[in-house]
Amino acid sequence: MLRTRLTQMRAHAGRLVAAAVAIMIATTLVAAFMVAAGVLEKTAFNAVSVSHANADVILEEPYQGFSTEMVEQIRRQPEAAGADGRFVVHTVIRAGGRSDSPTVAPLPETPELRIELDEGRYPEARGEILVSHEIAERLDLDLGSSVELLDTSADVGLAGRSGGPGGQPADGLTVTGTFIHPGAAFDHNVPGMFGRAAEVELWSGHTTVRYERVIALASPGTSAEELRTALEPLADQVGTVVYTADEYARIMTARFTADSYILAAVLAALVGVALVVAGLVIANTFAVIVAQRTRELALLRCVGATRRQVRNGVLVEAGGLGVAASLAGIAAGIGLAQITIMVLRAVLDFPWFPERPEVSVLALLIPLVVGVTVTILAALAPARAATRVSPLAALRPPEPGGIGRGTSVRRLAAAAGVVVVGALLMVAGIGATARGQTELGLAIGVLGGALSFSGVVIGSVVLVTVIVAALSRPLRVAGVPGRMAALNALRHPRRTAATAVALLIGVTLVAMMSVGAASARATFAGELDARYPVDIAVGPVIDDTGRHRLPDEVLNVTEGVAGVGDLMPLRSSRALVRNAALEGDAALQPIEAEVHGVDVGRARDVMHAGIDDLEPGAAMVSRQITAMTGIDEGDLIQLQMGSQTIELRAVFAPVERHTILVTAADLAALDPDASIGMLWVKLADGSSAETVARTLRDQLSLLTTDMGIPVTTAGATRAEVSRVLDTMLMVVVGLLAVSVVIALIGIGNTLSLSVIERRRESATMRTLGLTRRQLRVMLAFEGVIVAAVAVFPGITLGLIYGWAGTLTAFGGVWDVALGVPWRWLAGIAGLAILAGLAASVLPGRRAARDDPITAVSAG
Amino acid sequence: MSVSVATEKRRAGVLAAGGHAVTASGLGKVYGTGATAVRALYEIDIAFEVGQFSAIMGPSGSGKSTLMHCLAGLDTATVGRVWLGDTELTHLDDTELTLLRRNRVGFIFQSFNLIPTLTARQNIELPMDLAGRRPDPDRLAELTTTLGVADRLDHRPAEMSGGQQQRVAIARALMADPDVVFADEPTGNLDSRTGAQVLDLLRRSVREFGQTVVMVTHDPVAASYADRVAMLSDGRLAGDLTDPTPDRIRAALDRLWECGQ
Repeated sequence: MLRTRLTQMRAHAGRLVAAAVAIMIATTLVAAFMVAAGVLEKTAFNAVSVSHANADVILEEPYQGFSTEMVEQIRRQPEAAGADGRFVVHTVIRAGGRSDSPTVAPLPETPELRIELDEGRYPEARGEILVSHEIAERLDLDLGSSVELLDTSADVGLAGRSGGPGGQPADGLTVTGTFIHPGAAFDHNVPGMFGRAAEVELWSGHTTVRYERVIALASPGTSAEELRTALEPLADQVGTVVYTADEYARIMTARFTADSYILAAVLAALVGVALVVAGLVIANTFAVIVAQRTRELALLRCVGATRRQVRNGVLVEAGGLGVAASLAGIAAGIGLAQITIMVLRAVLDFPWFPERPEVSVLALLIPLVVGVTVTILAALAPARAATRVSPLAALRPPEPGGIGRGTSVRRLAAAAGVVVVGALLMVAGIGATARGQTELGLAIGVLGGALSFSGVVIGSVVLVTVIVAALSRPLRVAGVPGRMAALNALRHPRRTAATAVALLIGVTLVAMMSVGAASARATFAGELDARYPVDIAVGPVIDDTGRHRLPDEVLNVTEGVAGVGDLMPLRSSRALVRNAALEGDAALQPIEAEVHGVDVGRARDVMHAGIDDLEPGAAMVSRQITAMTGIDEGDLIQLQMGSQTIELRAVFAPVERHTILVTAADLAALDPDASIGMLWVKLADGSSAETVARTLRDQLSLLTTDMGIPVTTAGATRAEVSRVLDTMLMVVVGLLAVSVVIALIGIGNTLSLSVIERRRESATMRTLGLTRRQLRVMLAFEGVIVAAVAVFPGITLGLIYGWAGTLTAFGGVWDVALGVPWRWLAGIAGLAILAGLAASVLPGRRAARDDPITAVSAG
Repeated sequence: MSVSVATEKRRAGVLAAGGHAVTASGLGKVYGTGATAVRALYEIDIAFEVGQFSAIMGPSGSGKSTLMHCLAGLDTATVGRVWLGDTELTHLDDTELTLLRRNRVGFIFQSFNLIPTLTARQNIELPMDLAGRRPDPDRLAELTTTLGVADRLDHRPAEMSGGQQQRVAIARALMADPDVVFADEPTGNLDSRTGAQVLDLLRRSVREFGQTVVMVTHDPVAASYADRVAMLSDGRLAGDLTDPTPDRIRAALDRLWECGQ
């Protein structure tokens, strides 16, 4: 029996091509997805590990910090071969008329803990520095180039320490080497420069240094675990824990991939969709193959094959097809991943990409198992249908394809019931989210979506009948070909439905994602405005006396830079911040913050989001400040400048760590002598934040002042976030396009098979006067009808699901704006219809090739 | 069965051309090339008169089907020329041949070849629909009444008996009032009584309405309904009987058989 089957498979190889391609594409996706996930994680892991060089353990404490003594203690542990502390100092540097504002960290004394060099050597003598490749490129620095250090200020992130006026600006730094920065996306703590420890401490302006991080190397023969155990008591003293480098990298990787986690989940869901679509195409193919072979199967039954043998025969065929196509798909998937990596490595110059994908056994096995399982599952129903072929069928003349009659009322009722229940659940999900229970809402909503869509799929036979009936009236204009096409589409409503459902799923998802993305973008636009209200900030600048003072020329220069739309100067001061509720012994050490006075009336012109919460008596503070002072939203916060003290109500806002925004009037009350310390710049429409900031930096560095003027931009971040959104949408739509392609193969397949089935009929029509062209037109109409059956419900459902999904996912947190990407939707509809046409081309050519004699000689 | 003015004019032209509906001259057909070439027809000269019921007879493999295909414009001759009325088919391309079949030729098949998705009425009107011509309801009524399928017009082929299906097929062939109707073993799939009815209807269409019918058959009884029988053997014309009876046909076939031996 097996041999018979395999012989038949070879004989009918052509008919299996479509199913094989569908399985192949689906398994390619599964394999590529698994390999890509591994590559992504490996890349992040490599990139995160880079700044710690060969460290075995890492201790982190961002608020209190570690003292020099503690670092010394760690070094003295017998398990440790070396240890170094890490803190960063903000600098402004200038070279050849350009400037930048990188951070600098002390170069570890332990050679093994130093970041890997790209070129040159580590700093040894006074004034020598190591800079990141990126900065070297920006400032056009070579080995031996000289750099001016204009300004420094220690990160005021360590609680209880004043940033101070910054350390000694030292000109004449020399670049001795470069390193490759892994990118802030992976680890924003990696500094842009390394200098000799003693000098960096000097630049910090502090007499006693505190480190945010300590990295340590294990002694030979000691494992990272053992070193961790040895250091734990020390870590306990400052209330922190010790991580091994691997653990730390994994945590950072997770933090980085947490953003991509959602992406990964979405991708996994899409791969699932591709599999379902492939399953439908496969089931369809086998159903038709069984129908075509009715006589052959009956003959087998006549000569003694049991039902079981017939069924197993079909399943063996499916299994063989599944294995062959899956293997091809896996090879294609791994090849795809390899090519992608090669391209990325070539284009991005990013050394943390692994050279080749690590292909785990699982990455090979899972797609194979999935591919074969889907194929066999899809073939189960056709296999059962094959067993119902009676031996008598071999003796009867072949029956012409009958007219499929509608569908049972039971099926329709079941479909309607499932749709209604699903819809109710979706509404409930939106409701749950609106009440703040987003997770519950998402769970219910996803269940509802899946249920209602299943209902649509169950009822798709009815859908097909209704839509084709609606289409057949306009099709009448197209004469016999149009009318025949409508009739042919209804000949096997179930088959047409199965074909259309594959495309329906694809179209629904593409439409859903684009509607979801349009809504998400509309929602995020508001959110981004709130989070990054200012495009570019120039300053703050502090003079030798520790007072804010932005040189007057800065304002003129900034106004003159192309791309600057509007700007607003802010008066600034430094103040000690306390929690007004805590006094006496309970009072924490005050922290120092920069206080800027905002002209609320003008703020609207230069900010993307109005700061309506900023009113007299209010202070906008970061969550870091509130965490350090124990202030809750609405509590009173005390600001002290010299002898002046004011108390303001704290309002949380996404402002910089040690920045507090108050109204201009409140600032005047705190510090009547405050002068302009900072400028807020709004970009002119269409200009890039990155470019304007760069021009500003370069022009400001030409000013005859020896003060460094920091230029920071959130506009670039803004642009990056929307780029990320766009990229994600592209990736998602790209993947969904794969399911649409599979669905198209299905349409082509169904058409080809019905062409084969109707060979004699087509030939009769040709004899009676149907021209080749008309025959092709008829099949084209059939393709378009099937596509239309998928497109119109698909887009409608996509709209509904897209909106429901956006409401359910974001409704609890943000004000959701619902968007409709009309152009996208029209594009999807147009493409799907065109694709239906395209799917008819090959079957049409095949049908037209047949001579009309076929009809006469077939008798 | 009325006849349109246009058809009358065309037929007048045909009569002027010698009164032949279909003419073949030096018609030969070879399948394949070189060593594998099979010669199906040797230089056949034959003409079928307007308003006559003709039969082409011969044993299996004699080339009778090939001859019909070439005469009907379904297949192209290797050598020789074929005319339908005064239209030469030999140089027409596929679309021209299709339009010619659609407008001027009717077909009746052994296995009826009705389109299963269409009702009897839609099947009958199909050739006219394809040609974009409006079917004449009076002619439809007249034809279907004569053929005895007037009450089956809204049924699909699967709901009709073989005899009814073949009568619908005859109506389809006659509906557009073609210059010639080709029938390929029209009784092959019918029992003898139903077959006799079908043959009688074909003969009536010739006698009463001046239709031209060319029928291919291997059945002497079926052939005896024709006015004339052309015998074919091994791709050559091997006899021509006028006003045949089954016995005369059998005798002629026997002679052919003996010659073949």
